[in-house]
Amino acid sequence: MKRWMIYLLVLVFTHVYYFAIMNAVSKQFWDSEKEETSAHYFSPNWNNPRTNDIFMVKDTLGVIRYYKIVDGVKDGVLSLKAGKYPFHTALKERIFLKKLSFELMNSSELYADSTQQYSLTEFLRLKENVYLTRGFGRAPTKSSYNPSYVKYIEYMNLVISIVSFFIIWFFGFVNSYLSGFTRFSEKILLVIFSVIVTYFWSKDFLSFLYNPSAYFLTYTRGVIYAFILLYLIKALNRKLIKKWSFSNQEAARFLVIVAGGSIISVIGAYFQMSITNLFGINLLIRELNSVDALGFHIFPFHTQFWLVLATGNFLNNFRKHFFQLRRKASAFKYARTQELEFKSELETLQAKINPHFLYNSLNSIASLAQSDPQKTENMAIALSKFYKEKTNRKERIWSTVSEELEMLQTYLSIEKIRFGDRLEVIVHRDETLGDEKLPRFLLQPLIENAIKYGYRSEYNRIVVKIKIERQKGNLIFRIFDSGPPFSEELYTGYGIRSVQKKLKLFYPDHHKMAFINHPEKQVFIQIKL
Amino acid sequence: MFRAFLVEDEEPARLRVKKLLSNYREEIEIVGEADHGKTAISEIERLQPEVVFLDIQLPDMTGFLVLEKLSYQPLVIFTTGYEAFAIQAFETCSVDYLVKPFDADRFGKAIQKLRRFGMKKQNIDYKKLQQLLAAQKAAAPTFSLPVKTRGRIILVEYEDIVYLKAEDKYVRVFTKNERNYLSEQSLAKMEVRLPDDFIRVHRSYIINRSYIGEIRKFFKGKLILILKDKGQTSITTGSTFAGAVRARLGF
Repeated sequence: MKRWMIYLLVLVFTHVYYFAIMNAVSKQFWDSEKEETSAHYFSPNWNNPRTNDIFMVKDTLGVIRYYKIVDGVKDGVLSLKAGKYPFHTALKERIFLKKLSFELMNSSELYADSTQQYSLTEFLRLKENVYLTRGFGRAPTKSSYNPSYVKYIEYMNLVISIVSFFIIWFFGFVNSYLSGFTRFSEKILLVIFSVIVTYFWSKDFLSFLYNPSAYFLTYTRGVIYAFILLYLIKALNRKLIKKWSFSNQEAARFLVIVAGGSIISVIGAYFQMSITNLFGINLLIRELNSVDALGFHIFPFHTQFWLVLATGNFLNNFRKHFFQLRRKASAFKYARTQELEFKSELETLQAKINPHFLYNSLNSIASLAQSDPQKTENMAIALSKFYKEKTNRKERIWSTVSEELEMLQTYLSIEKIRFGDRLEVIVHRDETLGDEKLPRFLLQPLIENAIKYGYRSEYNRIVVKIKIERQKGNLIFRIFDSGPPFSEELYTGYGIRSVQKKLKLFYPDHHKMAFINHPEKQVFIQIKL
Repeated sequence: MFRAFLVEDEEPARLRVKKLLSNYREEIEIVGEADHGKTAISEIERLQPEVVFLDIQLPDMTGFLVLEKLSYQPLVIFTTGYEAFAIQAFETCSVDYLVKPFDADRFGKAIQKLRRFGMKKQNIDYKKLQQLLAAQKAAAPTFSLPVKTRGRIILVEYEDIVYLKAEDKYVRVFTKNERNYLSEQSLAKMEVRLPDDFIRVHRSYIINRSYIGEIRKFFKGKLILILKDKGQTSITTGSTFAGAVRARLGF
């Protein structure tokens, strides 16, 4: 599983989960007040106030009052509960407003003392006297607000957050971006801390539902505290060994994680809001946020958590990358030249042949010239054919199984003259094979080796077996010889190296080569078709 | 008159030597021939020739081993396929050497040399020659590590190895593409074979120096090495190895 797939999975899951909860929660509100129209529910009408409507009023002094209708209009008279709160900053206001709305919904006792009676005309006059008015929403009745249901969500959320945390941790995100935490005890501490912090976050879940901005701040603080604590512990741990201060690198890493995580969360929040708007879900949340001019929106904490991790990880990698850019560029250049060198080397590999083979063959031709002209002729022709194959088609890299076998036959006919009856070669070939591609001259060095090391003194013979077969989309070559088993030391010469290089170049991840002694001595090669 | 014996595994090459020797019939008589080491030893022991034309690469053993097993030391003319770099060794340590394929003139010179040696009855130190050749062969660079695992030997190229870790009696070889192989050889044995790029940093770790990404100082002069593999493996140097590692890494 690739790392980005995990990222995606967590992202998709957290979002789906989040939407599901939001939908369920808002549905519950809707369902409990079915007779109400949605428009009225969230936008109380000054001209038609109803029980449980909440109105927000801000006078010219900047004092904000909330009015909750305890009893609907009875005989032209309203019963209102009122609250009065001065606010200093716009931000605080936003946070507190939402917090208050939450409290209003839950504790009607809060305003019990300040119940006032207004006539409808008096109430409407209130509106005229104020600087700004706005329908704020309506507190649900106690029966419609189901604590057990919310509790269930809360627990679910806790479980989900811990699970997603462990997924993230398990797949090494934490490990890699907090690579400062290398020791096992530190890793354990990290886990414990994260679980604790996550638990407190999930405790805060409800306030986050009604008060996302506050939640966002709490969350950001939480992240910062968690990291400060963790780094403090790490520093302390170090202190016991050496010193207090962070290294520059660790400080940079820390900044990148916190700043990066926060920035991406804000961006993510906007992004999320536009999506929820698009889908038209979360009307409840949107209504509750309608005062929120900045548009700070809810982002489920596990998504935020994930985002912080991901961003931290990404930025950290980017930072590393940035510092290593020059080195990487040169490394790339190096790799490129290496590849080119390798290709040209490969071409020479194709054309080059073990010089001993040539010496020996020519020596054989010289020796046979007088005693056996027929053999001499055969050998000279085979040799020239073989070399033609090697050199003439230099630019060709690939060959087919049939071509390769034909070339091997030419090669073997030379070796057969050299070694006479002592050499026996058996070729087993899967009949269906023929046009399958393989790098040219892949097998020849292995056959040469097999002949070289395949001598068996008991029979005074060299038996070489070549087996080519197809197995589940793979081409399998086995080259058996009758010689003594491969030593564990296995000093490999030019031939094996060239085979190895070819396999690595042409089949970087789809090849196998093994030297096997049991049950039969063989070189085993598997390549993907 | 020399009595000569031919040891050569390829028939055409044997024919070649026989044909060239026929020009010196009055001086050299061929008493026998063999195509592999085992029969060569028994035949030479039986016939006791003065001269042996000996191929160094025989199917079942080397020519040197044949010489070692003999109860006496004949004069030897090597026939070899060795590259030019080895010639120096033969020059000083044998009657003569013939690099295949050889012509009649070159063969004549070898016979002349043989005449000189035959008169002097000079002893030749073949052991020394063998050592020289073995040294040359061992110095040839290797490129991959044979990893024996479940009856198979797999070659892992040095440049792909990130680090090696001892696990009980075995060694696990970690490569750059996140594969690992369990080898039945010991770490100490591998250390001998591995090229200079590999550094023993711990009792149970050898790392490839070219994969070191980051070095951090640790206490007691130890170092934490963070490797450039995908998992960013970090290895703390062992205390007994710390000094050597620092020296190898240049600080």
